[in-house]
Amino acid sequence: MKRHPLPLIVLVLAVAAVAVWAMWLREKPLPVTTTSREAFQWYEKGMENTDKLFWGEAVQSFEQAVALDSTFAMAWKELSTARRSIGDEEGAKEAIERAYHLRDEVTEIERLLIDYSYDLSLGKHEESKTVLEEMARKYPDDVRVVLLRARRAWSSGDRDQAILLYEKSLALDPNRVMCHNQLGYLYLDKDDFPTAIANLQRYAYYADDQPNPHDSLGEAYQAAGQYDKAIQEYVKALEIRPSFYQSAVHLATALAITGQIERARYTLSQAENAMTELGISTRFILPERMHVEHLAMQPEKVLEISDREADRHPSDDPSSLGNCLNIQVYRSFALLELHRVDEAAVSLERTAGYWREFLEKWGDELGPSSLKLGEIVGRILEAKLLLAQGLAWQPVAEEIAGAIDQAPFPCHRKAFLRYDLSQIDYDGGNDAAALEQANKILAVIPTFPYLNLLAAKAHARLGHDEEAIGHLKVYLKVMAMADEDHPGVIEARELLARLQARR
Amino acid sequence: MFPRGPSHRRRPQHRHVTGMSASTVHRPPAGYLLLGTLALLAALFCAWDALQRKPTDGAEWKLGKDQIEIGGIVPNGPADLATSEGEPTPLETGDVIEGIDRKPISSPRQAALILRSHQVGDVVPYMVNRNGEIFEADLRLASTRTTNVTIYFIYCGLGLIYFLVGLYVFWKNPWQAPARVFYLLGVVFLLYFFSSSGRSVEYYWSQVFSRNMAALSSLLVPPLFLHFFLIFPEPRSVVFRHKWLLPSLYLLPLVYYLLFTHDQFYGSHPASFSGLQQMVLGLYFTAGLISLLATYIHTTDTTLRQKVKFLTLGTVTGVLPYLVFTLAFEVMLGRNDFALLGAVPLVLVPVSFGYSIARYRLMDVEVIIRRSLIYAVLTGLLVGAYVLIVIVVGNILLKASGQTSQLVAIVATLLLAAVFAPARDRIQSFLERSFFREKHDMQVALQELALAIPRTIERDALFDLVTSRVTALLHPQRFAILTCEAEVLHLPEPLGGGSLTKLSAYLADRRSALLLEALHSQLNAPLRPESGEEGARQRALLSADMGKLLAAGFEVVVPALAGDRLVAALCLGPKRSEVAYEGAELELLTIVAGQLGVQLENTRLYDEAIERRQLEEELALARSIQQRLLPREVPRIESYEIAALNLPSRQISGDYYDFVPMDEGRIGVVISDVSGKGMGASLLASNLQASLRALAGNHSSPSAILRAVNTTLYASTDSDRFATLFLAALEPRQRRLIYSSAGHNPPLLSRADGSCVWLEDGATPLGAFDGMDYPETTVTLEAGDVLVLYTDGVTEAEDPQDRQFGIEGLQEIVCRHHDRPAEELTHALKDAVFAHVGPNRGSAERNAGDDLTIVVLRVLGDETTDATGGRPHT
Repeated sequence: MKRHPLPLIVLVLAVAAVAVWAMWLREKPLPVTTTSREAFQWYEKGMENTDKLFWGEAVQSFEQAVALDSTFAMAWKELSTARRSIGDEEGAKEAIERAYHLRDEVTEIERLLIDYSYDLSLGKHEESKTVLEEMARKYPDDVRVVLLRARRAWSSGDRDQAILLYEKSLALDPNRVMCHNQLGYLYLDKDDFPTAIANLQRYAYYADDQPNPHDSLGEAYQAAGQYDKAIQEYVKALEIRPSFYQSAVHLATALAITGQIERARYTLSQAENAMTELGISTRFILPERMHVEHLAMQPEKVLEISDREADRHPSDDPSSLGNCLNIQVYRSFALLELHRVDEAAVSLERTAGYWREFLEKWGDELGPSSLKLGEIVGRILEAKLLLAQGLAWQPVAEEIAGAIDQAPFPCHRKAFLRYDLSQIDYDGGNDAAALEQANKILAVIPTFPYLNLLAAKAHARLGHDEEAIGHLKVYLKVMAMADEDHPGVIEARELLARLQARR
Repeated sequence: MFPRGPSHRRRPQHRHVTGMSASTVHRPPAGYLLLGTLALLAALFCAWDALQRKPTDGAEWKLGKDQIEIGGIVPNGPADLATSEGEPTPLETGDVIEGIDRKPISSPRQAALILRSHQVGDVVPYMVNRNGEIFEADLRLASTRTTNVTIYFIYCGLGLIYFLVGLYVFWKNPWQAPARVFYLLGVVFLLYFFSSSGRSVEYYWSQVFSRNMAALSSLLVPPLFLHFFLIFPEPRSVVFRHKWLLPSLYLLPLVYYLLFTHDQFYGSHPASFSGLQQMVLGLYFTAGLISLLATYIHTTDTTLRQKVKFLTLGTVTGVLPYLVFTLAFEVMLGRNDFALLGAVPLVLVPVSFGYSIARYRLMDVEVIIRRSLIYAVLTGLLVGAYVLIVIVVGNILLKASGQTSQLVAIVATLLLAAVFAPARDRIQSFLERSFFREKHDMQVALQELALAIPRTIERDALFDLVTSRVTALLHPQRFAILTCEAEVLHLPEPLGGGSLTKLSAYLADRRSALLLEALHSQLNAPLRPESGEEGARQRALLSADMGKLLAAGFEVVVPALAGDRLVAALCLGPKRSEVAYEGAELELLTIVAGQLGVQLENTRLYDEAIERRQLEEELALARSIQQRLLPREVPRIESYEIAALNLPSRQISGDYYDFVPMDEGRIGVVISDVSGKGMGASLLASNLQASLRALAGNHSSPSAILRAVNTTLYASTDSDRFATLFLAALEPRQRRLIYSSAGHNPPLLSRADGSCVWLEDGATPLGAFDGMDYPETTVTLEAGDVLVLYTDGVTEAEDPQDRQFGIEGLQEIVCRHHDRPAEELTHALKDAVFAHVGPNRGSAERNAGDDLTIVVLRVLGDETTDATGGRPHT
């Protein structure tokens, strides 16, 4: 008798279906070594908070994880990073030590990651580099390894390699949205504003509930000269998290650049309140205040602020000394603008002293960009002083120009430096040189208001009325929301009226 | 040796058996049913999906890409109405969707998962990359449900109708090619309508499935349509001439589908059919319509024409709007808002098919509608309609007249009731005329048959006529016309075989239709009084015969008589409607059977007359051949008298005589009798004469001549063909006769002294055996000797008492008339034979046997010569 195959087929299909269902139902293995699924869930939450830069919440999450599983090595490692981010160095050290002692009970990749973090925490850069190379060789497609390599490439100045690695990270795991943030900054450093903005837009889209993406996007817009959009993003960041004082500072800067000084001052007040609530010293807001007043062309206000802090002796930590340095720099600029030359000379001396001290103590930790920036700023102040003293300033100005050209940072970071130099050239009567410096920035950031105003004045003095009018119109458009009594706006309007009358 | 004529040719015992028993019903092929089931499941799935309310963003994406690139935007869909920061920012073709709901996506599957987590109406933020520029857009999700549900249901209804009609036709006739193709057409139409929900394809695999079903079905409909009408209602000659035509119809649509599939994955635009492709598909439809119209116009078969009339009308009326509104408008004008106008009339195609099936048994499918069901439905519909009319009319009258509603309602009801019965009757009459032909068309059918039967002289055509009309009229499950041999009906083997001797005799005494079941029960009823043992035996035989018919599935038998003789019988099974045969129907059958019997007899006589005429023509030709064989005159030989006589019989038998010149002045005297009758014998005689004359020139002795002739004849004829022949070489001066005989009647040599010698030496007839030797004998002739050569028509002539003339008679006559001239002797012998046969028999009877052939050779004295020379008498 012929057997019909249908029952056998049905049976096989049923068995296969049950097997697939069983495999689907079984618990998937965890990607990290831990004995507790609940601990892993806290670990994941901590990683989310890390991505969002919510360090406080991240610390709490990781602490929960290790409380549930004290042998959770990777949780200890991440806890160390989070604690360091909030300034808890002792806690960070303790956590990484715990992780290191558990390194033999984890997988190889976890061991390597722990070794890397441990070596970094001890300042063993070469050893950490070796570990990283081993990880790259054995686990080239592990997104954690790729991210570490990218970060290292970036910090070593290899932006192109960093870009490639961050893009690879995204290809491996599209949910690593923080990579868009890094890519945004990397492209900003290349003055590729559209790509930078696109990446940061992506970051802002994916992490819409976080302030940092909007803040970063604001920075990109600001660097590109799109101040209105920058302000919108900063505002969004503060709406999401009012205590995100970094955005407040950035917002104040953007507002100051566009002439909205009162609003900028208010914003800084809000930032100060936020920092107070967070227990962060508000001394660090002072340079920002001075910066705002400096941008607002209010040297008197700068001095008023600096007078309150100038004599405080800096504590023995780099941030405090840096703060004092910044305050002194703004004070120097203000005095020079007010033509209080002798006081300016004294302020410059003090500034130089702070700088030397900073270099002695923490110079090794400064990157080449920061070193160069410090040098250039110092030379600018020097040139301004010479100009004010009626001494030969041109050679210094030429040196500054060369230094700016060779400086290892992007064009948009040179904007204010070139503005300062251009101002020196203009004040010294060298309109051509002033325009040359201005055009180098305006070619990249056509809306940069300070250089538009300066360029307009230089063109006007050279009799290039049309060019002057063009720059004035751009300036006034950017400064459309500026305060009525903004000196720059007043000056621009008057100049425009004269030039239009002259036509 | 007279052959039997064609009138005794056997005829088939069974003709025109229609209907099949349950055991021989073929089930539809499982593959087709499986295909239909799968198609139905697919269609239902498409319908379920079309009605789902899944969230969608109104963007068509391109398959086969690593990212979600928009290939098309649904007008007024969410993507088209997207906003960005409150400003309208519609998405565009070419935009890449990088994120949905603030999650990165890189595949449609991810997009589908994210969308499924939302509800219709949710506003979802999208991240869009337009040529490198990133922006956010808010989309309010819409529903994947087909927008116009009513129209979609109409489409589904159309599809179901096609499928059900196709399935029914196929179920009834699974082995007919047109039925199969029609079924497949229904299946494809089902898929087409169910999957044509008018939606665009977004992220969901179910929509991809529906789209592919829609594409595949829309590509298969045109070639199936054309295929069907190339083989239905009659296969076109082009189909037979080119075997590759039908399979090739599907090649182009297959190519189109491959292109469509390619575009889905690799195309730069959403996959669709180009205007040119749609026009080509439209040509398929057009060609199908042309084929159908051509068949309708050119067919001379009125029955077929009637069957396909409504079908043609329905198909043309249904398909033309589709070609215009759906295909042409969309292709040429880019407008599909008239698609419904094109789709709805398509229902006329299956409806017209259904009507033709129900009314005219189209495709040999019969739908027997239960009368009671129809009447019940009709009554219910009428009652419902009347209730409605009463309400409406009542309201109208109330408003118009201002009378109280109760009075108006009563009046309206009475008025309408008055027309209810007549209206119902009218409609019922229409239905009966349309679908229940028995009552209405009985008289018409009878008249038609009464006119048609006498005009049908061909037997097969007669059977066809009766079969088609009776089955069309009464719809029996089985029908057969049994014919008789020797007035006994025979059942063909498929029906059980055997003779129905007793029943045949019974029917011969009956002229009306018989209900077998009732009669069978009567015969077997135990309480019936028996009329003796013989009576019981006869009843049992009759019962057995009836039982055979009942076992074969017949219910009614109707004798067809020619005079008092049973010539055939109509056998009918139960009606398909299971309604019993009514008296009028049995009466009809009786009349038809009577006409059939008479006409069968006429056809038999007609056939016989035809055969007779053919035979006579053959005989006349054979006769003419034979006459040409005989010499015109006997040779004149000094001192000899020769006379010859040949009287052919009615059936030419092949006798001949001849005088063949031989060498050295000799004369060959030949007489021969060829076997068989008619044309064959004449031709053989002619052949024999020619051979002998030819060989006589090469051989000198009769023996050698006969040997040679025998060899020739043996090689050139069948084994049952032979000839007797006597050849004598006369040497006139020497008065010697050298003879040899091949089985012929021995001539008589009557000597002058009164003695008689039979020249008997010889051998077997010519052509019987190969390589025979024929001895020859020499006799010396004297003056006064008479040699008589003859054929067996002389000696075997019989008197009324069947006594032969014989050689004695021959001898007696020859001796008596020995001294008479040869010619007189010849006639005397002839007269004696005729006298023997009988003076009262006509020449026809006298000539009913063999030819009479006589040759007389008289040796004269030296002084005696025959002045006449003599011509042979014929």
